[in-house]
Amino acid sequence: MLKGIYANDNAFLAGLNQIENRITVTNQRITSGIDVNQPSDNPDAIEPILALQAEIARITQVQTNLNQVKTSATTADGALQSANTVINQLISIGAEGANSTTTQLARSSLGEEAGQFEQELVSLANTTSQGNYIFGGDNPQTAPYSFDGTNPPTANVANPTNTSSVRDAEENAIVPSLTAQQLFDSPNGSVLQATDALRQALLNNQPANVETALESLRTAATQLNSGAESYGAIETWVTNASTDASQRITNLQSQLSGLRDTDITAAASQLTLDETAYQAAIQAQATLPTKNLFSYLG
Amino acid sequence: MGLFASLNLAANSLEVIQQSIGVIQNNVTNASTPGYVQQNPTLLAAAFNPNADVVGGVRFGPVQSTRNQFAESAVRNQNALLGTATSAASSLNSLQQDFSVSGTSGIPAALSGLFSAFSAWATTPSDSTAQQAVITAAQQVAQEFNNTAGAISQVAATATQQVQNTVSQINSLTAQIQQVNVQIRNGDKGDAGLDAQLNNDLESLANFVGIDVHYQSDGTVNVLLGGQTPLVIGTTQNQLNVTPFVPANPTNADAPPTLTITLDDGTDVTNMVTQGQLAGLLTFSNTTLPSVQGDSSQAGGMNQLAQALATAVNNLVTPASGIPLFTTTGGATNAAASLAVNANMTSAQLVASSAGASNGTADALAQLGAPNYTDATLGFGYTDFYSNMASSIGQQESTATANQTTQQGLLSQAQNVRSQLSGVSLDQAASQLIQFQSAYSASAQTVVVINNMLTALVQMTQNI
Repeated sequence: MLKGIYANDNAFLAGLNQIENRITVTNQRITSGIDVNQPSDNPDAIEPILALQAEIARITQVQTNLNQVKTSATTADGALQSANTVINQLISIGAEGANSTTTQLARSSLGEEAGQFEQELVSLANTTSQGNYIFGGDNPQTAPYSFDGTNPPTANVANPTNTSSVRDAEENAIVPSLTAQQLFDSPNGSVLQATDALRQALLNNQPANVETALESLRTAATQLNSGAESYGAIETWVTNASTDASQRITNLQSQLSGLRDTDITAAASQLTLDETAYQAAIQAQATLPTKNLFSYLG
Repeated sequence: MGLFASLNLAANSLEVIQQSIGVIQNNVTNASTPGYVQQNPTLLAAAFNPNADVVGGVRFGPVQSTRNQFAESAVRNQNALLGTATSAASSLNSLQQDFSVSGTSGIPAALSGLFSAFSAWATTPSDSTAQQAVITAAQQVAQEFNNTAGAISQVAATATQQVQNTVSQINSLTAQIQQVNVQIRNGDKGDAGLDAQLNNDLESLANFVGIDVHYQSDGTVNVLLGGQTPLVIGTTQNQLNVTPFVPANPTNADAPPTLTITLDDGTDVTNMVTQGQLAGLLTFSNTTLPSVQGDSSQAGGMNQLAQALATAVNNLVTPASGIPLFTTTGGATNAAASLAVNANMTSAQLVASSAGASNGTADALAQLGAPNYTDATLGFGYTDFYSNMASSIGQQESTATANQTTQQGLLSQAQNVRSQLSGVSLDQAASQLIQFQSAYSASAQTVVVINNMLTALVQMTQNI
């Protein structure tokens, strides 16, 4: 055996070092459960991994946004149903007030009751959710209407707009709400004006005006129901978008797992192979002759 | 030939054999000495002409070295390439640690957090909590860019220090080689120990920088850098220096300088450094790092990313809010290090609306994180641009590590070949010792026989 510059020993130690490095990396992958811990682990996988992570974060936020909108839409839907109930009660009051047999005193009393319902309608128009007036449009921090119990309800925001949109995972946008004016004070049928007209007619004992206000109230009720239907459509859109977002997140996480997560079975197999190779290398080295001719010379 | 002549012949043989055994013994003793190669004794026949009373015998010839210059050159070449790959792999490994690729930390996570904050703000444009979340997320982005830029600067400083250390070691080794040349010229030519030291120094030097070695007839060596620049010529040493270089009228005045290698007279020999640890470090310092942190002529990817993000966000925020959200100071190469949230910006000042919609600005900001968004300056989305940078560094590190492994194997092979050709074989040494021992015994026996013959001759003379 040639000796002198220990080239064989260097090669053996370098080989052992390589196996040790592989074992260390495999152990790290098994422990962390992640194959790509640094760029050099799989450079080609970096871009898809980070893109998937970013997309998961984006869609998760989209889902959070949609859930928030859904909560508001559900609250709005409930408010509109309550408003519908109130209007039906107002129509009953109006029908009773329009009756020719009803006394002035009774009409006055019905007028007082209509005033309470009017207040209730204003409160419904000013419904809040998560600190915002859900029918406030672009001014969610301002109550849409005020009512002092005597004068007709007044709009706190002149010509309110409603331009704030929400997006689904595909970046499609909708405006997920209607303003109180669109719902309760539409030019096509104002619930608040009709209610106030009814209250005034009852208090002033004007059966003919009660009849007119009653007709206006019925028209306004139709308008309000149309708004409620819009909210139903919004809820459906949001629910579908949220479900879609959820499915996308699951799909993206699955893709991410395939790219990034350790295949434990394969890693364990690799670890066993490397450990076997390590032991075999040491044993093979141990069996190499370590004696030279000097060992046999007396 | 008379008995006394024979006695002289035998005594001379004993001396020659003793010298040969000395050579073998020296081989055995130096079997593990770095750079030492087997020395072989040479036995030459002495002139022999019995008619002229020239008695012949053996004489000790020059000791022959088994050093093979081709094998040595191959080892140095492979060692230089290993040095290149090793320093590149080590430096790139340090740099890649500054790139988070989990998506849950570092710049990618901060970017996702910012775009999510914009998206949440777009849903509740007048919500002060959402506005504050935007400010907080923006601060987090700035902080991550600052941290990454700082870490990269630290890697750059370490690389510069390593270049200086490597050049110091190169100068130290060339000084040793120059000293060996001086000793050789002073008459130590053929000294196996000096030869071992010289070749060991050359091998070490080759790992630091690729060299060409030219052996001179007087036994000295000339060492050239890149085949042209003399590091050692006879008894003269040329020292290398590390000189930071900034071109005249640089595009980026505050960019870190590039590193050049110069001789004492100022000659730039950087282009001569193509192999060895120094070459790997210079490539890392002058090519890889500038692609990330910039230099006199380029902004660097990290600064480009920081500046492009700040510009895109500010282009949307400023028209609505009156002041930009992000600020940077200094030149283009300082964007990542100086990125900050405008000190005058408060959450209340953030205006989500634009001309078209009450959440138009916030919605447009959220779109900066959309998967199909491409920044006009970068040609990529922000996360994609970062990914490309990280992927490029990772690819370079992976390639350098693979090269390192390959070069270790190639160096081992070259060393093996050299060992086969020049290494001390203890078995051969033992065999030679037995051979010389036998010869010594035979010569000694000859002396005994001649002694006996002389004794007998003296006794016979007494009896006459």
